[in-house]
Amino acid sequence: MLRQLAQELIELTPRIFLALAALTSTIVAIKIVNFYLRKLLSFSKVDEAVERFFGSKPPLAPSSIIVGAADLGLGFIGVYLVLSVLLPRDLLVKVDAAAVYVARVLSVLAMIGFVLFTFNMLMSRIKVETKLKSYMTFVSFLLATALLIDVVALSDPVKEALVSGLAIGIGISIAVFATWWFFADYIERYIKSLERRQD
Amino acid sequence: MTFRSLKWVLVAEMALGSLYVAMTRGVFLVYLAEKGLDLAGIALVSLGSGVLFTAIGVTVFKRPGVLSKKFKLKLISAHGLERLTWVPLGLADDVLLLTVFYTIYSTFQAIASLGMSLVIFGSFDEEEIRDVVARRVASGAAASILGRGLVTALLGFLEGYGKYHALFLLGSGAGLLSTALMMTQDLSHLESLQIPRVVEERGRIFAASTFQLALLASGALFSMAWTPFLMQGLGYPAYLAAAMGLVGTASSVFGVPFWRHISPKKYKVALLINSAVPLSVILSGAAWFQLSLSAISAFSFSGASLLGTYLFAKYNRWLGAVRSSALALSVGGMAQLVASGLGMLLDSLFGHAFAIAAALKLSAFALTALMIPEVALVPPHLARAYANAAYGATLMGYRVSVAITKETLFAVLRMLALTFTLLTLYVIYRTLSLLLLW
Repeated sequence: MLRQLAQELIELTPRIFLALAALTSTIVAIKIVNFYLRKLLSFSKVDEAVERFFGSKPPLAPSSIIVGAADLGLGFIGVYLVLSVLLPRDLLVKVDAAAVYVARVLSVLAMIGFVLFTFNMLMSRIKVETKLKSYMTFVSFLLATALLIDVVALSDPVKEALVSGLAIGIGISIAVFATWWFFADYIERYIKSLERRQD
Repeated sequence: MTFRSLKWVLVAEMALGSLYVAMTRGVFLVYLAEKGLDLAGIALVSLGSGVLFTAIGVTVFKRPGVLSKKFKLKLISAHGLERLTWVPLGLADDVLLLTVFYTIYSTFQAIASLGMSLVIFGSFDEEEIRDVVARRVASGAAASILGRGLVTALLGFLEGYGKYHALFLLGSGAGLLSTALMMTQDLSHLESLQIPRVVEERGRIFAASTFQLALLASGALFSMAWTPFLMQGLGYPAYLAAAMGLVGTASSVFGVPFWRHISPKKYKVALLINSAVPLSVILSGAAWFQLSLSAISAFSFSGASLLGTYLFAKYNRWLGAVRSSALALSVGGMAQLVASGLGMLLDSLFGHAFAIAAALKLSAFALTALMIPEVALVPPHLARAYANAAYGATLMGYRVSVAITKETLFAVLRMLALTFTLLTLYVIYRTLSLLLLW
């Protein structure tokens, strides 16, 4: 048994060392990229430009988001390299599939975040009535739901039906809203004239 | 303070120097053309030395101390090394190596000519400066005729590139004799010269410098276009084109002493005559006409350029000798830059070149008539006011353009930095996606 253990250790050692080397190189790369990106971003003054554009400081500094995204990307590369060194081929295929799924979930979350952030920004910058505010929240909620359907574990026909239904619903609600927004005065006058005629 | 022996040494130095220039720089462009350098390359060489002159002039103007300490050592070193550079210049075969040596030569030349200006501006008063410069121009022109004769004879007798090497060596030797002459002089009075802390009368200095710039640039552009026009446009043989130069030089031998004894106010007449020459060139193609024009051009130009010398000598008291020399050098460099740039742009559009040269000369005349109180047609107080107004407007324009250029440059660099950042992000995530799909 000891012999088998030793044999396995001998076989594993180079992989472990390779994985350690990959991890170390990733950390070094993160440090270097971090330094270089921070220098570039502080020179490009992107935070000040965003602040000037939006009129207020965003909750997360864009430079931190960019550096964080770069670190995350490098970290993923490092983890993937370590896994590809340590794991057998068939398991690695599953890791790949899982990674692609995680990437989809992350992109959907990012899209939802973007939609909510944009609506929120629009509402804070434009003076909006309460009715309009709730309508916009409703539309953003429908959009987020449509995006979430892409990553849930439903069968494809159900997904298709749900997405089509939501798309038709969003389309109709936007059409109704636009009609009301542009022709509210005419509609109101028309209804009033009808009421007067009935009286 | 008078330096009688220095005055004569300066005149002799110029004579030997002109002999040296005729045998070296005078044939260098022909040598380059024979080596296979095209017109654009030759213009670039001249442009490069213009940049060097301007840069060295501006540096010394901003930090006059760099030249005034251990002055004689610096002058003699630059003076001697400038002449010695022709030895490797004659031996170098590669065009790139030639360009490197020529740049080194131009650097020494700029320092040496700056030093020689300082000797003149720092040793004599206004009147004597004009006298020394006039004598130097006359002796230089006479020696130049002798040098050209020698060059023509040697180029005719010798064959191959060896003739150029022999000329460069001979010229270098003649030039080193002028260095030896300068070594005999006591220049201790130029050590740690007083440099005025604040430059007064900036408007007047600006007007004089602009006048000098317009005059020198027009002169360089005109001579750059005239010879090719005669050879290509009128079909003159090479000897006639060379004769034009000879007539011009001979004319300035007499021109400078003539103008020297005339009141500076009348130098405007010389400038006006000189302005008419570029436009007269196209009137007739007859050789006698062109030769007469060459004589008139050189004769009137020597008068007009004496006005520049007179003004720089006069403004010496506000600028100090070092800054006066540095300003003269950088204005000369800038004029060379303007002329070379225009020459490259206009190429064989001789009519345009003559029109621009005439316009520049007329602008110089307008400057003297309106902004230079010593010779202006308007009352001196009005000329001073015009000069100050022009200086103020130019300074403001310069500051605004510098600020705009700086801001634009920074905006572009910032956008580049952001692009690099986003590119890095793209590379990282693209690598990740390739790894996952692989």
